[in-house]
Amino acid sequence: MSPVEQDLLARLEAARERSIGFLRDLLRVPSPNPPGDTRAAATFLQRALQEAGLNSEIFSPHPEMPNIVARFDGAHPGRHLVLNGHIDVFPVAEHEWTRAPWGGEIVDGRIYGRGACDMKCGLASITLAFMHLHAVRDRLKGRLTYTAVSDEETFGPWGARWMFENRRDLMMGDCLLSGEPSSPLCVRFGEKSPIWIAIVVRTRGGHGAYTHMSKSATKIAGAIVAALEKVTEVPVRAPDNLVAMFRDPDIAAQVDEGCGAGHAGYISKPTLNIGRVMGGLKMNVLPNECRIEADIRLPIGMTRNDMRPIIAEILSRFPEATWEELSPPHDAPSWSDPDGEMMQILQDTVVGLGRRRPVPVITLGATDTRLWRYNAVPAYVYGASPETMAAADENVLVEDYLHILRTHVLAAARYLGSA
Amino acid sequence: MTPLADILLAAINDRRAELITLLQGFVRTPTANPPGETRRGAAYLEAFLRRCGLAYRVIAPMPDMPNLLATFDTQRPGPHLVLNGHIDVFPPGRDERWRHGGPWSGTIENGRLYGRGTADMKCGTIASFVTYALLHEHRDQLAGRLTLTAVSDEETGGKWGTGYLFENHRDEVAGDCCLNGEPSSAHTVRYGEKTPHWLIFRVKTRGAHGAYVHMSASANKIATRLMAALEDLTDIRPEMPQAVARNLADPAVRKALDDGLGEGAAGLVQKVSLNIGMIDGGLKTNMIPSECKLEADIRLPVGVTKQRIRAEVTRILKDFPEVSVEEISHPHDEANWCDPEGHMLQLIQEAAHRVSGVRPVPVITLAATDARFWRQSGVPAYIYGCSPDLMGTYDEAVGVDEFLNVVRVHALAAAAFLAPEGKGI
Repeated sequence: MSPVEQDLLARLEAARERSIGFLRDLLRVPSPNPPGDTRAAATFLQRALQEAGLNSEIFSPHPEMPNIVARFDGAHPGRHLVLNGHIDVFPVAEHEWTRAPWGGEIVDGRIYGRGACDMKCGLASITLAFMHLHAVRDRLKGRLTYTAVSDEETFGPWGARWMFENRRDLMMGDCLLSGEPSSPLCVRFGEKSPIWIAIVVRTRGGHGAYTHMSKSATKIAGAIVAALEKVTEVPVRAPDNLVAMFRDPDIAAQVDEGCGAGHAGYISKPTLNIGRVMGGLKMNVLPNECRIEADIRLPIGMTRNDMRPIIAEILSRFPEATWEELSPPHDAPSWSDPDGEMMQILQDTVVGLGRRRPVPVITLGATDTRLWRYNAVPAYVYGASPETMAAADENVLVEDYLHILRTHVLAAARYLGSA
Repeated sequence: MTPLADILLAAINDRRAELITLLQGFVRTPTANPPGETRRGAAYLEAFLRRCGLAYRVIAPMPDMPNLLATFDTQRPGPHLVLNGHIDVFPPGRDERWRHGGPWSGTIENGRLYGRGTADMKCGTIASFVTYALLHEHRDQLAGRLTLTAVSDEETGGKWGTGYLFENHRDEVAGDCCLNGEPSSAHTVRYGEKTPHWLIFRVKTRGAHGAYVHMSASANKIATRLMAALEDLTDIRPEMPQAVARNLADPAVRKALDDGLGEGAAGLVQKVSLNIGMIDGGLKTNMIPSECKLEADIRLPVGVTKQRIRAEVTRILKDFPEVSVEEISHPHDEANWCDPEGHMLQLIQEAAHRVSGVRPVPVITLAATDARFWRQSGVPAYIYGCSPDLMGTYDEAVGVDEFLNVVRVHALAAAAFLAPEGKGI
């Protein structure tokens, strides 16, 4: 370990309580999306940067969805690393929680709150990492950029996508490190791609007792949900090296341990989630409209154009249904080199910190890291366990959070190199 | 002396324009339930009674759901007839899907008056009010007593409407017979009805990120599977009382049901029907839903008890450990009927035949009405009203002439029921 790295670890040890407090405070600023208003949380982050002597720039193409960018140069020329996180989090069904969703409570070594794993843990970590590395910048090479964006949870147009379309110069670098959930046992180097579709069933409708008078929009929707399961059976042709990687029983076992039993098996299969079903006006009215929102995930080896005709064929059997795609039309599954340099740095760093060597994994979810991969920038993710992501009582282990922070700081320092 | 029936028909013809305007104004007064706020609708009807110089009471256990009660006694011995209609209507849905000027337009096009509630049942309620006012004018030629009830909260079960009146003012509203103007079509008189069995199913699962399908079962997928499983209920075979079975076997009755209520109605009268009125599950496209709610409107025919359907639902739910169920319809209501050859039924048939040339046949129907409160108290209750074809749709309407015929039949049948002994009208 280089002297800079040793100093950084010492700084982190000294700031342990402040680091914990920083995540708890961030969790106390609600930023659910929808609706997606992240101004308060962005202000919190910008103020923290300011107090550390860092100027940042805000880009708000949507007035309620600010994006923050900050950067500094080391003392010597070198490579350019970009850190990325998102500020928005999933919405909350408050009655399902036993902890305050915006409370940042610590119970039995876990910090609770919406976003604790997805991804305020990772966001707090890259923010603090950026500040600590800034503090030792006169001993570092290269350039470090910090990006904290909004509008990620719905893949809306106002976050990283807008930045890439309008300020690509600020987003690009030689490598991207993200703090999205991955589980400390895994490093993510690629991801599946979501196709989100909205299906609307329309029928004549009528009185609920007169079931002979009209087809029922809700019953047709039920039949559509069942028929859509067919998308999960579509065969996939994945690259051989990926197929081999996840057939390795040791890798698969560690992926399942980190990301939940069954995760490895779904890496190379399409999946179907029926996120929303909403139909009808009232119990005793025969419904004339029902809306389904389906979230289909394409594995590596499958494109949107492979899936679209299958969806179209299934839905063509339901003449009362119309559908549209909600997700960005050109996205595709994306992956970086599973043996790339940052992968090895992350793995070695974690081992150096005394933990088990993380295995490479393709995430089932999608993140903004895809945008860097589309621009040929290798992108890797190391963050919290996804176990409670999007669920009630979302939480992260305090020790995992501190471990992720140490990993981010050291891996970034190693990638940049010191003079 | 001119027979009373002729006087009544002449009065209706003379006031034709006024009656159409009366219905149109009522349709233009929104009374959607839910939310069920009907004060403006009640005020509209009160204004009518005041213009006619008629006394009434407002009974409002829920301040925003008033009920109106009016009564007069002829001071001659005779039966007590009760007219009943409701003020509230179905919710309008999406305004932009209405093709005739929006849900509360009251637009008249090609002889049809459009708007939410025109058929169910502002046409019938106005018929009751006009009948009451006309018979009051001619009370010196009648015997017995006439009561008018206009209620709120019919569309959501009647707890604060007719149900409340029966619990708290039973002597005033039960009477000896009830005449109601809910939609029936000109081809039928309704003497009985199926009963609604309303169930709310709640599916609960853990929930997770939408890409992590290995992390949690999906409340929405379970709900749609449950929906399919519940279809089993529609296969239950009823055990019909003989009088009802005879009536339902009559080809004229079956034809009238199919003509009046749409192809397939005769079959449906004898079957359990299942409507999934609402489904609502999930927060967001990319989250595995942890909760989904299904609202099922099951209609039981005469011959299928609630007890039997409850047992069947319990059996189905054995395969769905994530699901809980709550019954929200009145637990003691059952499918109900009165004499398909009763006195008032014959009077309605004669009046309808005179007015429209059609002799409506007695039928059991699909939808629940407040008539059940009378039948379950042993008081016969009959329904005669406009066509139900478009009720609840975005094109809900009533023919203007159809409306006037409903007014005529109600006025004639009510007057005949209250005719002094030994006299016709």
